[in-house]
Amino acid sequence: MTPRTVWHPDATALQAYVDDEAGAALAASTEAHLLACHTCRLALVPAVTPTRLALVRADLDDRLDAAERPWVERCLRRLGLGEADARVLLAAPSMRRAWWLAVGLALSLGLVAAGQDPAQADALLVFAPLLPVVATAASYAPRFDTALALTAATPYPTMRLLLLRAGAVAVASTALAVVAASALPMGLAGTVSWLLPAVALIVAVLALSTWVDAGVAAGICSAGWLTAVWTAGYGRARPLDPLAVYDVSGQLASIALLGVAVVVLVRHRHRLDPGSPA
Amino acid sequence: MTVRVQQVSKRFGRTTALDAFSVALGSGVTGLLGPNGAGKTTLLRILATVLPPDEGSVRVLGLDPSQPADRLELRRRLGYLPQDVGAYPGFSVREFVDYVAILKEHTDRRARRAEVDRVLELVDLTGKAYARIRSLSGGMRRRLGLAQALLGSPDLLVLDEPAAGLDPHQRLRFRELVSAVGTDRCVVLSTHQTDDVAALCRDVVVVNAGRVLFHGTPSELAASAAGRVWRSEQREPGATLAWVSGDGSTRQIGSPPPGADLVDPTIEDAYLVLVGAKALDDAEPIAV
Repeated sequence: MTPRTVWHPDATALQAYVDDEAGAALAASTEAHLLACHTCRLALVPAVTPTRLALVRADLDDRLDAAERPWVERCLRRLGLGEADARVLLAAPSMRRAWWLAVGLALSLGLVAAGQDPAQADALLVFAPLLPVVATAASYAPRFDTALALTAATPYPTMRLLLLRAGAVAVASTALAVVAASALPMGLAGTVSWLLPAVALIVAVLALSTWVDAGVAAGICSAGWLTAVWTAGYGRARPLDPLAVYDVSGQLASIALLGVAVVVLVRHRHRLDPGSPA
Repeated sequence: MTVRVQQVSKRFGRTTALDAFSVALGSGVTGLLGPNGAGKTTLLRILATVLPPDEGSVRVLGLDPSQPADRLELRRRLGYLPQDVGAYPGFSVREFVDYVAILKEHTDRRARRAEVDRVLELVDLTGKAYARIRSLSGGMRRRLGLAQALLGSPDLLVLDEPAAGLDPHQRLRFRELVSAVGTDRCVVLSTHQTDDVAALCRDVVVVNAGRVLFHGTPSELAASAAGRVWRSEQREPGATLAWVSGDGSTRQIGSPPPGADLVDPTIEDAYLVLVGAKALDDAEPIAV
């Protein structure tokens, strides 16, 4: 391209431009001129040391790397999460599967709720705690994360990986379930009554994972929950009252389960490391 | 010794993978030879700290993997290539190696990028750095696995069938690479390729049914079959294994008849004497 001006920066100006000492006006003029003038670009080459060139290249790579990362990862970094934690959280396909699972289940529940049939609304509330339970297990089960064996042989703490993924999926799926449940006609108290049992069940899945596979742990917790719903429902009324499990005694039982699960998880957390002796 | 395994046993349900297994390995490349299900992968997983033994003791690089602090330190000094890397198919080659580098505490972004470039160059994957893993051939995936294992120039390299799926040119490059690492560090690899053992390994351990059948140098392994390999015009009754070789004669392994034309045994012959004959005892003869 032919430069539109007859001005060419001299050697001193070029050196000042390279050294970042040219000042804003001269730097802008030089940069605009260099884009158009092949002769001056050639004259610039000797002024740029290999070290300087490597720094410019590294800076460019940094910017390209940052731009390549998914927007969710960039958001997590802005929220203060470290690079390793953000990458571990989002890397595994199991995370995407778990989230898709959560979204799919939440949408299904929402569709049920949209029917506004009281029986269907009851069913939605009964099954709502199971959504985060299943999604949590899917986020770190070895059958979903194919590289888990490789990950286990690195210094990154397994417990941290599990808690990060379980926490993220639990929060996301719980939020989705809240949105779905809010479509119900039973008011705020009815809508949030399942949150405490859901949290207790999530921690129970993590605690059970210190003994058995995450999928098995989720199965045990789900079966336990449905048994509790059935027992509480038939204990109070006939026909079955599926929401009896959410009354005060049910909430207290959830607190007790949460306490036990936390103690078990803390005491046996070393078992989550596959290399740890049993 | 870099690796010391004493009386280690590991069971999966009713299957015994390792049975009072003991071995001591120094620096250099050690090859584990054995049939499928012999216990090689179980041993490598124990050395890589992803599986605890049921019984016995393990010391690696002077560290005890049963202790959390030692296990963490060992993981910092370890490169591990599992039998199935399980690399995420949607990742690019560079993205996956970068991910493992992050897990291996390479926190400085620029240093990490240089290290990722280095290992990709070592395994000849620089040209595929931005290719999706799902588009790679089996051999390329193996090289990708090797690349992540080499991150940080580990003191101990544990490689489970690293040469599986590599073409002849890549196998030569792999040998060059691993032998260079083995000059001052410890490499333990499992393989079914006896020629890799002959070309690479200072030590060889033959494993079968969770036990050590042989431990020594490749030449000692070959020598252990001296007097058990011969050549003749046709298969003879004392042969446990026999096949027609390229020159038309029949190479035979077993108990040679008096006056047999004995030949120098290879590592493969010795391996077959140790393991193959035992395995074939239970097999049906091949009818051609």
